[in-house]
Amino acid sequence: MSETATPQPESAQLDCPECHTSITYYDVAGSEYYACPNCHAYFRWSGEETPEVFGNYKDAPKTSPVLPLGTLGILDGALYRVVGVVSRCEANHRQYSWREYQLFQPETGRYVQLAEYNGHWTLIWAASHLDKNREDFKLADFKLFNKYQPRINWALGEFDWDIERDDTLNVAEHINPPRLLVQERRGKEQQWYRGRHVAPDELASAFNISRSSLPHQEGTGAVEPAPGSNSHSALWTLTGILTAALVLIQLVLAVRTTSVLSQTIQVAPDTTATAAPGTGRVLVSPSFTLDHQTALDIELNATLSNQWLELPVSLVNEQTGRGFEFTKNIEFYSGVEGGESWSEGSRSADAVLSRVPAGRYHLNFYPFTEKGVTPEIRVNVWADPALPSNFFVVLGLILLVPGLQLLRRHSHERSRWSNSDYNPYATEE
Amino acid sequence: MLENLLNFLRPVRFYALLLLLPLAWFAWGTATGTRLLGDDNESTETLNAPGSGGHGHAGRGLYFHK
Repeated sequence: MSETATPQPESAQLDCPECHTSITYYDVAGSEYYACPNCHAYFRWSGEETPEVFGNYKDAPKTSPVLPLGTLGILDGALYRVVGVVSRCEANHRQYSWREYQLFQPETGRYVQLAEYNGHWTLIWAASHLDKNREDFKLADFKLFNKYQPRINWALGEFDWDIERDDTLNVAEHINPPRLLVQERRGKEQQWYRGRHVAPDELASAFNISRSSLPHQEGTGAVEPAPGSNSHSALWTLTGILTAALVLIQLVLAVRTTSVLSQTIQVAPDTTATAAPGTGRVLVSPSFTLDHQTALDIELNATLSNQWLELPVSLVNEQTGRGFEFTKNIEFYSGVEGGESWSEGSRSADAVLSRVPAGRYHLNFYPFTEKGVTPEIRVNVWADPALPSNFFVVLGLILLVPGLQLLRRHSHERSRWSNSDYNPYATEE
Repeated sequence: MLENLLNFLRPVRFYALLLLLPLAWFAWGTATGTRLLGDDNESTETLNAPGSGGHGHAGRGLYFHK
């Protein structure tokens, strides 16, 4: 290869020392190692008369890779050309295999790498002084995902280093989706690489290929963003604002609640001949006025002790005759058994009546209880109650989508980490 | 500051519009005194006579106690 300062040609050709196929290479100044796309011989050549052949990648596929050698594409605004492809696997887990596409930037001579595993793509570049202060690549924000030693399955194209030497590397991958930090160690030397997730649509657009020609995605990528990552913060901010507003409104409504009736009534037995034993006389409350349509919260407290009370109640509009009715069964039992006190039931009950129009009302009570029982009943009627059920129903609707989003993201994370030896969810299974 | 917040919430603007539905439902329930999941009223008829306590009241069921 030429060592003069004259501009390098865009590409050059060399002959494979094994099959004599003419190989086009693009990093004319930098490439020294080649894997023949035809016979898969791996050799070194840097201008000598006879290239040095190291071996042959017999496992190389006969079909062209998804991104064929020489393909041009634009990623992050820079023009790249695919100049090499390496298939690697983990030394200890050879079933974990991935492909690395070497992308050469002709203008700068810079290399980046596109790694593909199970249809998930990551763009990786060497960390340099140009981006060393980036806040989004602080190791403290990343989690260790994988450690391995790589082995080469096969390779195609040109390289500016001996890819076989990578077998001596110890690689540690740290993730903070969609970002990746890779540490490569060889003895005391270490080199850091940075990476980011590349969506299939972005890749297809960058290399002007169809989305369907890309490998089918399986599972979750190591740095694939969780669902809704772009809107996650906004979604929870919106949810927080609306929840706070709803709580505030509910508090205001609770303060607004007004008492329209507070009365104690005494159950008295109905002594008419036709009345069944235990039937109480009909009791009528004082009248009260509602000046607007409202809900009414009617609270009943009875002085029961090991007794029960069935209490049908009618709210009657004195002008229109319209009635609202409900029945409450109140019972309270208590005692001491084996030195332990116990109680069952409650002395109180409440009912809510919706959309009671403005008007003058009274309550009718039709008590029925055990013969001889005549409890007092404390009646409180509240207009404009805060209606907690309304609050919780609407709060539930507000939290529904964020809740589902949380479940999806949790499931996504579990799926992601299932590919890792450092799975934080492993103990949950 | 409000402009920054609105820009920040821009990714969920359509969802925010959708949330107006339950909020409007809540406001309607509050304004009309309606319990959204139904109330305890068991009345199936309208009483005709003002103050006609006791006549035609419904909802009393047989109650067998232990």
